[in-house]
Amino acid sequence: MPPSYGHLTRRSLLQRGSVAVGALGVPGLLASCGGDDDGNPKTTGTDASRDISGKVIYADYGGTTREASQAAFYTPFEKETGVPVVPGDVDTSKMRLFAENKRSEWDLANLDGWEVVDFAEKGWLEELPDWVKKTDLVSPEFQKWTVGNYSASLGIAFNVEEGNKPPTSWADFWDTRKFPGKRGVPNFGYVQFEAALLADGVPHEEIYPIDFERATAKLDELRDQILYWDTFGQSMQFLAQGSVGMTMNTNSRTVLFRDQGLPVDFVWDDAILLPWGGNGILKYGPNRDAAFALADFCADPKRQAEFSRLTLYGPTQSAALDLMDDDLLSKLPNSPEHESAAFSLNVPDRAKQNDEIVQRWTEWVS
Amino acid sequence: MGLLRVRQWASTRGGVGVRPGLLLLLPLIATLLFLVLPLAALVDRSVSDQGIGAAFDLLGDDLFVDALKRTLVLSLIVTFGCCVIGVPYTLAMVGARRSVGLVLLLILLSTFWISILVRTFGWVLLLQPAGALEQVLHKFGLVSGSLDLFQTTPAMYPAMVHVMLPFFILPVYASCLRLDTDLLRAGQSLGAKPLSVLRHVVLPHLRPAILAGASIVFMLSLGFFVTPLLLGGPDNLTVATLINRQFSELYDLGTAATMALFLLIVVLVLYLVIDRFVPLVQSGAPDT
Repeated sequence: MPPSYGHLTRRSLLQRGSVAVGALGVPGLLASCGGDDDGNPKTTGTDASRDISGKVIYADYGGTTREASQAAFYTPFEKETGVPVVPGDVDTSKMRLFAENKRSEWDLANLDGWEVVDFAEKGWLEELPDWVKKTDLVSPEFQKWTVGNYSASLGIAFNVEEGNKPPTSWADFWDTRKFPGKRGVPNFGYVQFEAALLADGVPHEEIYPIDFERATAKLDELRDQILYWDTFGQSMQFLAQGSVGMTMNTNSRTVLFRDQGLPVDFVWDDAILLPWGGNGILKYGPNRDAAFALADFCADPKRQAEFSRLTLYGPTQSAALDLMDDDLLSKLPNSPEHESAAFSLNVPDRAKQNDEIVQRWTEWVS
Repeated sequence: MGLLRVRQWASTRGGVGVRPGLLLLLPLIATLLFLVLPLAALVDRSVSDQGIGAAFDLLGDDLFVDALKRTLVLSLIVTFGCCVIGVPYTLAMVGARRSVGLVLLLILLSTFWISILVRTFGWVLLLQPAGALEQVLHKFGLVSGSLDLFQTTPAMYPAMVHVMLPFFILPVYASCLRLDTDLLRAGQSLGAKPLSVLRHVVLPHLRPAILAGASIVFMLSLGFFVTPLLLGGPDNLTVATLINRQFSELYDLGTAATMALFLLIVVLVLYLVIDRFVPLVQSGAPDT
């Protein structure tokens, strides 16, 4: 899951730079995966009586996630309804302005779970009408605010050539004596505090509310060894070229690159599972009905399974898991095996501290 | 200034038949739309979110004061670096054989033509751990282990000087071209050695241009964004990168607006002060 906070400037700067990484093979992989798409257009329950027209503007994170969304959702949606999906670049500071000005450029946005919770409370999101399908892996009280898109695990990506034995926990990430080399960490408030507390031995059920004193003290230990990255692509690049020995990354990026033959691997134990993110429908968007229809389309298990196959992000519709083979399940963050090994964060709990997390991270890092 | 030029130009062509005021209409509209209005919105955002006294509150904010100090020091060092490298470079451009001078000019202009982003990425590739510089040094056995340059303050200087150098050199170069070569011959015929010709004839002639170039570099450096962002790392915030952080991470548009205005006022005041002593506008760009 790409960075959730602003960074439009920085990210768009960096995307140009990470083209080189993309060229290492992901697009090729996507193309080859997309080959056997059975493309059955009648799989969704979009209500045919609802007459939609125009277009839908979907703000996503761009890059490989957008390519996969296009293949799994946008293009089939257009095929079925005749309504094209126009992608935009998601940026939370813009959403703030949209809410203030009561006019939005976008209809939907790709949001982290805690953003859905936060924005629903702030009144930035449109409540879904009853006819839009629900996604059962989203926390029940928020199913009316969002159709889930995907789950992701944030964990340790490491270079398999680097050391003799692989790291197995966040404690190993912090142990630069046993595992020499720099550490790649995001340059924006994400799940660093959670990782620090896990490394410090805090049990899963006591992570929230975050004890910032303890977490920053743990982060202080690592400060000199940190290399900051702005995008997940840059994180992978640091790892691939040997600038860092380990880096935080998603299961998606890491395993896709491993499958491409890069000497990297992902630590599933203790990985931080973001159990769901969502397609949020913005208030004041220009094409509300078409946006609802697209959200409904995105709840389809078959489409979600297709997206998972392309990205290795997990579905938010449990029926989608039943459509997958064991090989794919072994790479997904919310397969039963990986979910039980991970720290599955509680989205509403995380949302309560979201502003403080961003603030505290900014203070700590600067 | 602009109006005067246009009048002169129009008067030399007598029969153009276009009033100078009309020619300025488009630039004026553009200025209004793209400069004055956004600035007004910025002021409005700052005042409505934070009140009139917000700029003074900023001076109590450690993060901002640190960033401001860091930005000033950075700009001074970069300006100094540009002078030290720029003056000899310019003299070489003028003094060397014509072909060599042309090559030097092309090298300089290439830094203008290649996007600042691309050049900064070049520096990232050079300085990052396991990057090009480290590999070369390792190969020759000069250094072992990591250089620890990337995402530090020293990493920013060479790149910033590289980016700023043309802004310094071009005015000085223009001034060099205006130097009356008879003066050099006169100095030599009166027995001056090359160094004293340089000291008593060339440098005094270049002085206004050097000051102007240095001032431009200094003021531009105050707003430096891309290079510190990509090379300096998050604990090396300049005012501009801090504004970005306020805006895009903390979503605090009011504070971001106040900081931006603060920086703008600092630069404007500097400009007015410097302009009293150094004619920035006239020698700010090479003669066309």
